[in-house]
Parts: sequence; structure tokens; C-alpha cells
Amino acid sequence: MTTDSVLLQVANLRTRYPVRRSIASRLAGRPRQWVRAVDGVSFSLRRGEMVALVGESGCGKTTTAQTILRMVESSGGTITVDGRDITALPERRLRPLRRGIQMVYQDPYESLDPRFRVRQTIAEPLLVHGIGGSRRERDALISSALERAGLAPASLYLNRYPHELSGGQRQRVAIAAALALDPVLLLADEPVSMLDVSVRAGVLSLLDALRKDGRLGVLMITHDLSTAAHFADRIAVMYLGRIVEYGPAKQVVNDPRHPYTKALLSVVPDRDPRVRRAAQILRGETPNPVSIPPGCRFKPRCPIAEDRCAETDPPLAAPASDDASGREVACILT
Amino acid sequence: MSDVTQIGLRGGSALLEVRDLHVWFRLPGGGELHAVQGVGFDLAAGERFGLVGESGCGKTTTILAMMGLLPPNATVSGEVRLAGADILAGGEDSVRPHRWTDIAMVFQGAMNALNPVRTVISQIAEPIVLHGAAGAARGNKDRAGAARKRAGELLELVGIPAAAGTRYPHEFSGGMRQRAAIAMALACEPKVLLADEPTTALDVMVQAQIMDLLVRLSEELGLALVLVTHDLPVVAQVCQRAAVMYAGEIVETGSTDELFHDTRHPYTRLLFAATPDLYSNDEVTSIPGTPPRLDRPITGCPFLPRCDSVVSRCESERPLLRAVGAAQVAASQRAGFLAGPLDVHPGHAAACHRNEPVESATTIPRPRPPLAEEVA
Amino acid sequence: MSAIATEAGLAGQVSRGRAGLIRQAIVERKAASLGLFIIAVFVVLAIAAPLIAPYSTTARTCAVFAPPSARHWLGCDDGGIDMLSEIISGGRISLVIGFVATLIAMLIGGGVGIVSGYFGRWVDITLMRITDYLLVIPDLAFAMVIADVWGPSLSHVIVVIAILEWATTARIIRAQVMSVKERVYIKRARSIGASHARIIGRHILPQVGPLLMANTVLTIAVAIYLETALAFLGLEDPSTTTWGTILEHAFDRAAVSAGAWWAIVPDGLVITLLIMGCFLLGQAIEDALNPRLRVAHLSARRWALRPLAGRGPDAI
Repeated sequence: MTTDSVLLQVANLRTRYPVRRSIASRLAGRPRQWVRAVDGVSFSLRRGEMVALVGESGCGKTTTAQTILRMVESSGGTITVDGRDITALPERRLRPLRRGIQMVYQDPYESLDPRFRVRQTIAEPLLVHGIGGSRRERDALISSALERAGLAPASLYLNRYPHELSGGQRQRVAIAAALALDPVLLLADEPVSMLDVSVRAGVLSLLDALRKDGRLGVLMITHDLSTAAHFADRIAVMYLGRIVEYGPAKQVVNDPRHPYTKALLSVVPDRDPRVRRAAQILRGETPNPVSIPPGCRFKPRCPIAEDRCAETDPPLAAPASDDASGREVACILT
Repeated sequence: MSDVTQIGLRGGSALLEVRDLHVWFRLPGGGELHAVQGVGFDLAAGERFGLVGESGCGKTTTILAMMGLLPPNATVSGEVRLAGADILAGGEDSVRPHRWTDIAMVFQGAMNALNPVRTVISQIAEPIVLHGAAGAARGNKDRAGAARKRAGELLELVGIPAAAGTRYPHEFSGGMRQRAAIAMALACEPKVLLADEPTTALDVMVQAQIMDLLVRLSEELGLALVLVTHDLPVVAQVCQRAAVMYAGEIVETGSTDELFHDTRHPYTRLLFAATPDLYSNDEVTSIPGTPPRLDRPITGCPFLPRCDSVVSRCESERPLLRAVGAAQVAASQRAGFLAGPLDVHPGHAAACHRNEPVESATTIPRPRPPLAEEVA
Repeated sequence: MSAIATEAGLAGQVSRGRAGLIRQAIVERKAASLGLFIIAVFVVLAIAAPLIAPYSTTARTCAVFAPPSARHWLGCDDGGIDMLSEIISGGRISLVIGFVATLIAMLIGGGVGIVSGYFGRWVDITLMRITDYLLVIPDLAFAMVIADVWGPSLSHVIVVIAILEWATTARIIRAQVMSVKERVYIKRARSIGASHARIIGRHILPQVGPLLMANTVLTIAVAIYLETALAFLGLEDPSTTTWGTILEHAFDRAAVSAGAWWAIVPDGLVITLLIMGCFLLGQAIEDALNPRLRVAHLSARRWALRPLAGRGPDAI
């Protein structure tokens, strides 16, 4: 449907945070512990495609996005954007490339400076990167960004303050600010989870339309499987810092292979009261990424775990059956 | 706003009856905001009732009014009858004796409302001691001990091992804190539990655990539950009946089955259409526009600017909540767009002019076929 | 309250801009308007001092400790100088000391606070250690040592007060900056590639500005007090006339035993009045900036009950 170029390639990405040690532990010589937030994540994104990173809190999806954005430093693996390896680029060389990767944040009420009018918010990225020589040029770019984000006529919104806008409108302003730089990659971190239900589809359709016109690739972070199923081309299900299942959205949802995906899908409530799914409610909650067990990290909560699951850490690979549609599962039992 | 005669339960078996509840807020610059406009519903013991709506619709204000927890700039009118007696009649003084002992609430963000410097079990024991409930009555010598024991039982009831109660809230995960908040609300054995967005900030797996817990509590303890949320699927799976609120009033109410399979109000229909479903390929739509301002009187239907099936009456006359009766159902069946027989549920009502017989309808084209125009 | 307000559709109105908050705070709270008024009166008097002081402050115009009379409204001091003139002229100097010292303290404190809070890590640790040392030193003892070593003079007094005051401001501003820094729009600006200077200048400073202003007003109050104390302890140039030296002279020359209350009380009163005015204004701005300080839920007033609105024939 679109150009086949791979926009984003993430290979074996790792990001970890040190756990603060007390002086006593330091003196006792105890080894430093790490929170392995992202522990070997690999996936790719093409232009015109939307990939959804799905998972519960603590799975590392937001950290993955922040690492791709280089707001957080990775500790292993590579990030390649449009053919260039940006994993370890120093800030000075990275800065011009930042234009191409933009992020839309979860909280529309916090992502806009309350003292900036809409015009100033969208002008800022232009000023930072020296785009648009004159005020008139910049204004034209600002208006076109606003209209691309669905806020038309732009003149109606330019001089407003964030508190004069609804949540959906604020999120569109944030998207417009991201679009002003004409990026190639858009990271959307839970873009609609704080918006009213009646407004969500509008913003999601906007993201959908933006990537369909060919230039943009969208990486959407969400905990909502239904949203991912509807709007994304491919879904990557994450658990404790790893992708456990990856494939075309509809297939992952209709034919899940990994037991975690199956459990997650089974507990999503259906809006039809007559539909009662057999909910596989897993016991307990997602464990702390500080202490990841050896072997398969899902074993403690897995409904079908066997003893041999503690011996091997399953890689993300095509399942044993002859599925050639780009499905990958990290489970030795499928 | 309510003209309902047969809404709710048959034969007066209701534990809680809310009638014509209104709440006004005095605004700082003068003027009043009419946040709740004539809300009413019934609740039986062991029943789970959903109050659904988006931000600003008045659902949280409604349950706060029921508990008498509104700020000083609020004015309330209406009745909240608990086992027949109106607890709002005397203002704060008549509500207080019932608060927590008969009707309790789990607040939004309850998991963050736990005191960080006290152990969880002590916080659950506190209301038990304060209200002299469950063996910690004033005459009892070992009130604290009895309260602690009861608190331990409550923790077990919500799925937390009693031994974990000696920990502090920050040592609990989000889901466990929510359970603790529910245990706290159940401390004095209330008959009615009001839960404000209990699963909103939780992961889907934890949400499922909490939903399961709420269902179990209502079934085992006979607890009546009012679940306030914007999340339609949660209500569909947990509640037996629900009311959809918009602009401070109930626009449709009925069993959850009726709301989904026999939707009578455009807002309800559009709300379902805006909720993505895992397995369906239907387009997910949004509702254009914003809710109306509630600091001004509204003429006509409050949903008019955003509705996709307007008739001429909608502009001038505000629709009342009317029962979906046999006549309407029969007419719909004649016109051919309700397949199969349907029971007439006296509890299904909607506030929409299209739900009633209309002499002549000037319609704006819309996806579904219009209702029959004449009714016998 | 804010949850309910949002519920009730007031989302736009509740989150006003911060500048609006200050204006609102001043207009709404009588205390703040009063404080502002008091400060304004003193500033006007200080500026107009040479024009309105009835008599000279250096030449002797009446008897020693002459009581208040029609010609000398507040009587005279130990040197036969008109008290009223002294207070008016003294106010001028006191205010200058107070304002200038505060300005310097704000600039240093604000700067340190912003840099420390924004950059964090070792910059923060280093700056905060220095700040802590200054916070711990007892004010007056330090002042006395400096005055003794350095010699009393007006500019020295200003410097001493500034040194003593910037540390508190730095701590307060740092705390605010650390919290603002975490806000999403700051992170977004970083991710766009905005420079530190831009973020500090355009995003953080405007957020911190109102707090700085509230702190400035409160610091002026402290500066006035410190000036009085320093002068009273004899650490200021006795030939200048400030509110503090007036008190110092009065006690020095035994005005109390002479029963000359007019040499002490009016001066003390104006000092108290100005400090009170600063506090009223400063507190009001602080309150307006911190919504968590609002205690509506602890109010004794309750929600009201309205008799059931007109019930139609088919109402339940």
C-alpha cells in the first residue's frame, strides 16, 4: 500500500535503571541491582504503518518509546531510523534528527504550557530548529499544521490558551505541534486514554489518517487491546520488558498464540452483556522488573507452564506451525 | 425532568430509592450550575447498577449527593430513601448516621486516598471503631482488638491475606490498594456501596480481578452496588441494570441487555458506537461537539446539537424520561426493525422524542430507519 | 472540588493562568488589597519624603524629648529633632535598604534555585551545601561579626541582609523548579530539542515568577526587620536616620525613663505596619498559587437543602 522502506528498526534494545543502594549495601559489597525495563526488544516499523505496543503497566512499553526518542539512554541494542543508527549519537549530531521523531504524550492537560497560546506552542519547535525565516512563513506552517490535525479553521484556535480548549482539542494541538516539523516517525503514548470516550475515535482516526497518507509511521503505546485491534496494522504484546507476541493486529487478536496474550484478550470486557467470555484471570500482578526469573519470565503466572519453561528463555520467533504471515511468539509450548 | 411511573422495581422491593435528585453549585462569579437535573433510580439488595457517562455529566456529583459529601457551595433537592426513610430530609444531620454504616463509597483514585503513614489494617479498623460496629461497640472492653480482627476478616474478603495488613500503602500494588479501599468501605457492613470509577486507573488484568470481586461481594453479601464509570464494557459485564447520564440527567435506563440490544436514545447508541470492540469490524465513531453548559437553562433536548436523528420537536420541547412501553415495541415490530419478540420491561425508559409516538416527523437523514409514525 | 467542578463542566474556568491568579488573589481577598495598599502608602511617602517632612532631620528644632504638640505632632527626640520628620525620612532609607537588599537576595537566590533545581545532580548538591551553610548560621550573630570586621555603613548593611536572605529563597525556588521540571510540557520541549536556556527562560521562569514575587514581598518584610535589628544593635552608621537608628537612639538616650513614648512607639508602629502589610500581600499570593492550601472541605458551612422543586402531577 505504501513505500516499503523500513522507517524504524529496533534490534535487541535494552534499557535499565539502577536501583538505589543504601550506604550499608554499598559497603557490604552487594552487587548493584538493575531494573531491566526493556530487556531485548526487536521490531520494525515501515512508512505508512501503525504498530501498537501493548501491555500492562511495568511492561516497558513507555520506556521503549522514550529510549527510541533518546530521552532515556539505552544500555544495549540498536535503534535505526530511516537507515541511520541513532543509538549512541551525541546530542549535537542528534539534534537535527530530532525533527524526524516526534512524540505525542498521554496527558493533554499537562502537555501544553498553560502560559503559551496555541500559536506559540506550535511555533516553538519551528523556532528551535530554525524553520520558517519570517513570522509570516511560520504562521503559514502553524496554520497548516493545525488544519492537518483537524482544527480548522486555524484562525479560530491560534490565540487560545490551553484552558480554553477541551481535552480532545488540546491533544490535537499537541499533534499539530508534532506535525509542524514534518516528522517521519510519530510516537503516541496512550494518546487517548485520558480523553472522553466520545472523543477518542476522532483523535485515533486522525492518527490513522496521518499515517495512511504515506509519509508517516506511527508507533502507538497503549494498554487498550481493543483500540490496538482496530487501528494498528501490527501489534506487539509486551511483558516484563520483552515482546512476547508480534504479528498482524487482526491475527494476534483472533488467533493469539502466547498464553499471556490469550489471558489478556479473555479478560477484556465486551460491551455486549450477552457475551460472557471465559475470563482467564491471572493470579497476582506483574512482578517487579528487578527480579526477573531465569528461563521464561512469564512462567510464574502462566496457566500452561511446564517445568522445562524455567530452563530456557524463549526467543521471539516464528511459531512451530507453518505460519508465514510474519507472526512471532516467545513461547516454547506453541 | 422525570415523568417515569413504572421505572425501577416492581412491588416496592427497593432498598434504595433516589427520587428527583437535583444539585446546584453556586459559581464564584455569581450564577448557578445545575449539575444534576432530576436523577432517580431504584436499587434492590444484591443488585448491581451502573451509572454511565462521560466527564461533566454529573454522575460523580450524584453519588456524592447521595452520601451528603458535597462542598458548601452546593444545594441539593430530592429524596434519597434508604429502606423507606429519606436520609436527605434533614440535611447533613440526617445523612451522617447512615454514612458508612448503611451507605458507603469507594472514591475515584481511592488507591491514592490511603494514608501513607498508617498501616493498611489500622486504616480499615478506624471506621469500625469510630462507628462502634462489628463488636467494637462502645461498651466493649477490647474495641481495638475486635476492630483489628474484623479488619483482618475484611482484607481476606477482598482477597488480601490478613497478615499483609500490617504493611503500609506504598508497599501495596495499585490493585491491592484498590481492594483495601473497598475493604475500608465495607468496614461497617453497609447495605449499599457506591463505587466511583473503581477500575479506571488499573490494568486490564487487575480490572478483571476487581470486577470479579465486586460481583462476588454483591452476590455473597447481598450488597447493592452503584458503579459509576465511563467504561461501558465494564458496566455491561458487571451490572444488571444501568442508567446513561448526559448533561446532568438520565437519558436512558434499563437492563444492560436492553441498553445494548434495544437502544432507545441516540446518545446511548453513539456511545456504544464510539467504544471499540475487540472482534467486530464496525467503524469506531466519535460524537462531534461538546456537552452543553449547565450554568444556563436549556431549551429543547440537551443532546440536540450532537444528535444524528433529530425531529422538529427536539428543538422546542425537552424530552422527559418515558417508559418504553408495549405500544412502542409493537409499532417497532410492525415497522420491521426489531426482530423477534421482546418482553416489555417496565424498567426500560429513555428521554427521547423518537421513543414516543410522533404525529409528523421531519427528520435529518440518519443511518437507521426512522421509527413508525403513528401508534395505536 | 476540582473533580466536581470538572464534572460540572467548568473545566475551562477552573484552570486559570497564573498571572490571573495573582490579580484574582488580590482582588478577592481583602487582606491582600489591604497589604498592597499599606505598602503603596509607604512607598509614596518614602518617595515624597523630602517634600513632606515638616522639619529638618539634622537641625535641632525643638527641646529634647519635647512631647507631641500642635507644631510637632509626634514630639521630638533626644537631640531636639522632630520625630515625624525623622520617621518619614527614616522610612525612606529603611525602605531603600529593604528593597535593594531584597532585590539582590532575589536575584542570587532565584538564580541559584533555578540552576540547582533544573540541572540537579552535582550542581544541585554543591549549591545546596552552600545554601545550607548559610541557612544554618544564626542571622544576628553573623551580622554582628560582619559589622564588627567590616565597619558599619549603609551599603554593608544591604549586603549583609542580602547574604542572609538569599538562601531561603533559593530553597523555595529550587523546590518549585524541581516540580515544574517534571511536567510533561517541559519534557516535550526537551524532546523537540529545545536548549536549556530556552526552557528555563520561556517555560520555567514564567511558572516560577509568581512564587518569586510572593517570596520577594515576604523577604522585604524580613529585610525591614533585620535592618531594624542591626541598627538597634548599633551595627549601623549612627549618623544616618533609619527606623532602626531612631529606636536605637531612643533606647540609648533613655527615652523610656524620660517617659518619652513618642520617641519609641510611633516608630515601632510603622515598622510593624509595613511588615504586616508585606505579610498580608505575600501570604495571599502564596495561598492563591497553592490550591492544596484551600481548606473548603474543613469549612463549618455545609451544603444546603432546597425544598423539592415544583412537582408535576405525574412526578413520583
